[in-house]
Amino acid sequence: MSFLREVDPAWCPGCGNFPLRMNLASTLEEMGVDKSHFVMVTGIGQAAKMPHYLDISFFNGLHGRSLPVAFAIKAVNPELTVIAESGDGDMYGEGGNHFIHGIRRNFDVTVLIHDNQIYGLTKGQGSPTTGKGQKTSSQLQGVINEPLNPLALAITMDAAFVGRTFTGDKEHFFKVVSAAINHKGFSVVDIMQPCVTFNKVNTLKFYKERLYDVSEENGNYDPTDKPNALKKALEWGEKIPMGVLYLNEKETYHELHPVLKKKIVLANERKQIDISAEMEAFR
Amino acid sequence: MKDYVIALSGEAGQGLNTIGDMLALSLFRNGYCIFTDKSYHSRIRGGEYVYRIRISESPLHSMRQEFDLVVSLSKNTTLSQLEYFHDGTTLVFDSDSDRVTQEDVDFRLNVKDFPFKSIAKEAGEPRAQNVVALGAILSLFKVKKEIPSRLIEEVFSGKEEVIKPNLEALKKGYDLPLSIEVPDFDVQEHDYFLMNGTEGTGLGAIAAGCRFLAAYPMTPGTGVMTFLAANAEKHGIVVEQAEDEIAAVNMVIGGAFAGARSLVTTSGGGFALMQEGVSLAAMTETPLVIVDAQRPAPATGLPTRTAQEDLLFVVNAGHGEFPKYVVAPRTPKDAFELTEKAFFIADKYQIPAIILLTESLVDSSATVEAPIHKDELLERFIVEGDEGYRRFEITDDGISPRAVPGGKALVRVDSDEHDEYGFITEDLNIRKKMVEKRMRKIDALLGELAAPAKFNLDAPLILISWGDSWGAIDEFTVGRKDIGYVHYTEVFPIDPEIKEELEGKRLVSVEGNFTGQFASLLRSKTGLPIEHIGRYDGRPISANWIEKTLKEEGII
Repeated sequence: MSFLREVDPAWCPGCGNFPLRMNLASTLEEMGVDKSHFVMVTGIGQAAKMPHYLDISFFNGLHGRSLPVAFAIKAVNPELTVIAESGDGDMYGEGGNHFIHGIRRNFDVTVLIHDNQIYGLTKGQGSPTTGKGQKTSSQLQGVINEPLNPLALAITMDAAFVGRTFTGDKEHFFKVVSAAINHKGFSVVDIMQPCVTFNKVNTLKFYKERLYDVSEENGNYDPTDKPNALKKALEWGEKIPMGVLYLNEKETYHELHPVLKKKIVLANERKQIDISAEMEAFR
Repeated sequence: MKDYVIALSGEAGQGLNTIGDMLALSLFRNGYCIFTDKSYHSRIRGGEYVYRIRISESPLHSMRQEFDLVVSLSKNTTLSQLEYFHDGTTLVFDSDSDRVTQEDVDFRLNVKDFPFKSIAKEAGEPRAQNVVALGAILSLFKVKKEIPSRLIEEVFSGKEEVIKPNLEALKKGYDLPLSIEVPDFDVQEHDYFLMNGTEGTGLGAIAAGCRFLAAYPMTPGTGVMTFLAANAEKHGIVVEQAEDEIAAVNMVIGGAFAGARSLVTTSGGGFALMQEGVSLAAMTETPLVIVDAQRPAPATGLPTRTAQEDLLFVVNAGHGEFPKYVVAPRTPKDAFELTEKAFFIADKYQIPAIILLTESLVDSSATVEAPIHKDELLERFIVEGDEGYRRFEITDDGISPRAVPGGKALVRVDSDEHDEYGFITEDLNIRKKMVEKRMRKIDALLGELAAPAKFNLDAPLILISWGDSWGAIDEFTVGRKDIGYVHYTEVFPIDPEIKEELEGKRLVSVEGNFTGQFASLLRSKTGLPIEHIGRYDGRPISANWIEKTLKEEGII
């Protein structure tokens, strides 16, 4: 079943979102995801337009707010597969608080962040992941703030799954994103992608020269080794690690929640409600 | 009407709430009608805490400010309450404590002191001094002793070693000769319920089938959240404490989108943070139910006091134009029924519905008839949908068929302007049609509104009011020929039809704010000239205050 919608996306020619869209659609198709029980939640930004270009159910909400919406959808109907997807500005800037608390909640969701290290839709301002010193349309002398390291943050908070992939490698994208969707709990995938219009530093060439998969480095990478995963997450320079950096098998929100662990679907309608017992307490 | 006001005056942390609840409930179960409120500072220990109980033969819905009996546990708190004393006020003190004396006041003090603490010690539980006082007061009102005895057994259930001395302390209290004159009330068994606005709203939400609540704690709105949390397991409700109010409102929108009746609770400052979410619900036509328990503002204001200051803010909440439904219940029973209705309206019209409470309503227990639950208000208006499903289909009444994810239809929803399928669009002709579609819902919505409460509309002076000030208005006007009232609990939208009935009258709005917010709302819909008196000192509106202020303004 195809997840692609026949439409002409409103992205700049050469945008990393084009291969990301194709990779995501084929990943969902190859995994055999049940389209009738699939929902994508996005915020605002170039990345957040994604569901309009796929043939799926979606909630395209407010800037930075995809995670609270995704959380509630999953809480109310645990039978749905939920992906929250947005850009670096949306997920780490406006939505940073929700990112932190989403990890704490550990509800079963896959979070895909199009991390092009720049604001695209608002034309080239620095994002939380823009490198120090990089000149932008609003930081004309260069960014003076430290960039956020989302993977290190997620690992220190014991996120269930922390990975990184790249729009320029279809097979790698499938490997990491399908593993994230299959993993139970809050699964973060930071996706490196170029912004051909506004980011002249982190180009396709930049990534191709630096990115390597942790599992291929010496063949014995253990993603459950937290100190080592954190060490990898902090690596950013001549070499940039990608792949499944950290795995943490722990109980999810639904498994721990006193109501949800009974596997009930809150979305189901009720025709009758009896509160006479509760009323009696007020006599 | 015969009434009597008892004030328990002390500090937070002295167990006043427990003893006040036991006193109120014992009187209530013995057949009295009760209205309580609490005046307290925003702190957990220390600070003034006054628990007031008004006793009557039939239900009253406001506090009388003057105290008839003050049981004082704190000299400082009692000194701060002197303005509420009258000639007949009796002050009851523990003889061992630091007390208010005649030198502290410039009127004749009528003091009774009793060694509550020593008596409690004799009973075997030095901490039971409040229970001794409880027994003394209850015997004054001829309350059957088995009623408070049962309460003590419930409160300390499982702790035999505590129950026994407390029952002994109660008995010793009953035997104390308080010898204070109280009105001769004619009480008999009744069929009422004693509940506060928090409980009414919380029960209403459960009865409405609310399955998901997200909130960030904020006084005085937190009570509804904790009430649902306490009932969550039994009724299958998920209560999530969000990281902030923005998360809370977005969660609730997500929950409703996925098909569950969902509720977010807050107070004014938290509601301010939710504005973009209100607008999101409007654009995505997702049912959104919000409880805003008002407190005096701006900014942090007075967290534990009351006000009616958020009306125009709530009515105009969210950027852009869209219909919404706003209710302001007048009693806990009303809070129950309007909460159920708010869920129904939000679902039927796919719009934001806001329940405006006040601190005084949520914290006051009142004697009410059984709230009426209606199973037909559980109707969700959710459709199955099919392959060509259009979430935002343009219809005559503006209401599009709503499907939820997990069925046959793909459900697409966007905060951008969108076409009938939910896809983002910049086609300005579609934009125009979508605005008109959303706004068309108002026509049918007006037909859902019940008429406002009306009294004595033949009178030349008509008071206009809304929300929980109704008890005071009703008490003030009862039996008067010269003054009538119109009282609103569904405060938005407003049906302008009321104009005909009010034309030619002198109209004065009575509100818990400075500017006369409801007066300007009603004026804008009807063109009627409306004067205004407002209370904005953080205290609830009372019948006495209305009379005094109308006189001061030369209106009566």
